[in-house]
Amino acid sequence: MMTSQPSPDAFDALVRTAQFQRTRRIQIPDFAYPEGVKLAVNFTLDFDAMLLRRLLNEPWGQKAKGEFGGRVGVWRIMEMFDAEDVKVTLFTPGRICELYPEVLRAVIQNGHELGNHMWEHEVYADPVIEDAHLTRTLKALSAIQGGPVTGTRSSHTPGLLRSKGVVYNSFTSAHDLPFYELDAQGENPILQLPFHYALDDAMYFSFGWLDTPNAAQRVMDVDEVFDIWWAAFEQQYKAGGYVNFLLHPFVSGHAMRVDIIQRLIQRIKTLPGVWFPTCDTLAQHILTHHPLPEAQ
Amino acid sequence: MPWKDFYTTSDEIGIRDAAIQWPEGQSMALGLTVNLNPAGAGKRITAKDLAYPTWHYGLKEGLDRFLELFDQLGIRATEVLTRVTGQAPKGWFALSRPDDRAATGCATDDTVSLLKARGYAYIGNGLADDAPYYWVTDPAKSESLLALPYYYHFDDTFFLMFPREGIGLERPQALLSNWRAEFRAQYRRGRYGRRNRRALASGASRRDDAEPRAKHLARLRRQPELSPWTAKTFWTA
Repeated sequence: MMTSQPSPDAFDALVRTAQFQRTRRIQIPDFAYPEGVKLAVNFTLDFDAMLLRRLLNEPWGQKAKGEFGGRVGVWRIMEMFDAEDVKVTLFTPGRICELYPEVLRAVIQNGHELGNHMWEHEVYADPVIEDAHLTRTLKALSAIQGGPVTGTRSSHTPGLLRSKGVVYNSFTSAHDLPFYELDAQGENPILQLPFHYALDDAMYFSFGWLDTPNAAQRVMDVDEVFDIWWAAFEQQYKAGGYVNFLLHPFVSGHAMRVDIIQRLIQRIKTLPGVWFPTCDTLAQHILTHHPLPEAQ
Repeated sequence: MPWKDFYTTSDEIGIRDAAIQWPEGQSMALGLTVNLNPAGAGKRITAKDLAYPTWHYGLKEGLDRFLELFDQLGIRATEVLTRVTGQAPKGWFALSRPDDRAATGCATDDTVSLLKARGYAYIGNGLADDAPYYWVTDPAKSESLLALPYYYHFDDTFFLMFPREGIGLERPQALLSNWRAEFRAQYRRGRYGRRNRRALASGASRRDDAEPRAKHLARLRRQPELSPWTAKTFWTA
C-alpha cells in the first residue's frame, strides 16, 4: 500500500511546530519538595455534580446520577478526608455555589481549597462571555472561601486567568512533575499541576464517559482499581515524583469507593515522606522556591 | 432553596447515615429486583424477542433457579406481573437495557409526574441517593414520589452477556466484587443496597466452573444481620 509523503514545506512546518510545542512546556530543574518530603499527593475533586450531564442535555436519570455527588457523595468523601487529615482541592463550577453552598462552607471550614472549574463546566469561545463566566465564578468561590481563588482546572485562556490572579492550572498530562506551560503564542506562563487519566475515577466507573460506545464499557470493580492506583503511586514514590488523583464526588462518593480511597490513603501513610497538601499549598511552594527563570 | 428547577430532583442534602432507621432494629436493607423484560433492545417487545432462545431460557430455568434460591434464602424479590397477579403494580422501574446510551434507565421529563398521577407509590430509578429518598415533582405543591436507589454497578446487565451475548464479555467476578464491596460499606453505614438481576443472565450456569451465578446471592446472604426487605416494605414501613 502506497503512503503519501508530506511536501518538504509541510514537513518543515511540522518540525517547527514540534519544536515550539516542546518549548511551551518548561520543566523545573532540580525540583524539590519541602525538607523531609519525598513526594506530594494531591487529591483533586471535580465537583460538577449534574452540570455536565445537564449541559449535554442528558435525561433525568443521568442528571440524578450527578446529583448524587452534591447531596450525598461530596459529604461522605469529605468526611473521610477529614478523618484521615488529608487536605484536598475541590475544582468547583460557580453554579455549584448556588446549588450546594452548605457543603462548600463546611469544606472551607475544614481547611480545604476551592479552585475554579468554569461556571457550568464550559468555556465559551466568545472572549466576552468567557471573561464574564470566569469573573462570576471566581467571585462566587472567593465569597465562600473568604479569600482569592488561585487555581483552576479548565481550558480558560491563560492570559485571562493570570489577569484574574489565577496562578496554577491542573489540566494536562504532559509531564509527571509540575511544570510551567506557555500559551499558544508562547506567552503567559502558568504553573501546571498535572494529572493523568489513569488516576481519574470516571475512566473506570462512569458508564459512557466522554461519549464512549456501549461495547467499550467495562465497569470496573473497586479492588482492581485499587491495585492500579497503588501501582501508580508506588512508581512515583520510588521516583520521588508527584501524584494527582482526580475524583468526582458523584463517582467516588459512592460508599464502596470511599472505602477504597481511604484504604489507599492509609496504605500510602505507611511510607515516610508523603505530603498531602492542597493544590494551592503546593503551588505556593513551587512559585516561591522554583519560580520560572527570568530568561524564559 | 431545597430544590432547584431543572438542576436537581430532591433536597440539597440527603439523609445522613445516623438518621436512617429500619424496621425492627435491622441494620440495613437489601433490595433485590428481578428484571423479566424480554425486549432485546431499547424499544418495545417484539414477537422476535419472545421467540429468542435466551429469553425462553430466562423465563424457564433461569427464573425457576432464582425462585428456588430465594425460597431457600427466605428472600422476597420484586416482580411486576400485573396481568398475572391481577393487581396494579405499586412501583415502576425503567431498568437499563444493554444498548441504552445511558445506564441509568429511561425516565423522561414527565415520567415521575405521570407515575404520581397514576397512583404509583415509588419509582425504582433513584440515582440521586443510595438510601430511599423523595423525587420532587412539584415543589410549589410539595408533591414528590418515593425513589428507591438504583446504580448500574450492581446491575448484572452490564457485566453478563454485555452488551450482547456471545461476544465474550463475561465479568461475573467484577460484579460480585462490587456487590461485596458495596454491601460491606452500606452495612457499616446502615443504609441500603440494591441488586438488579436478569433471569436470562444471572440464572444461567457458568460454563467455566459449573457454579450457578445465582449462588452469588447466597454468598451475600451469609452476611450477619442482613434483612431482606423488599421494595414493598419501604412504602408500607
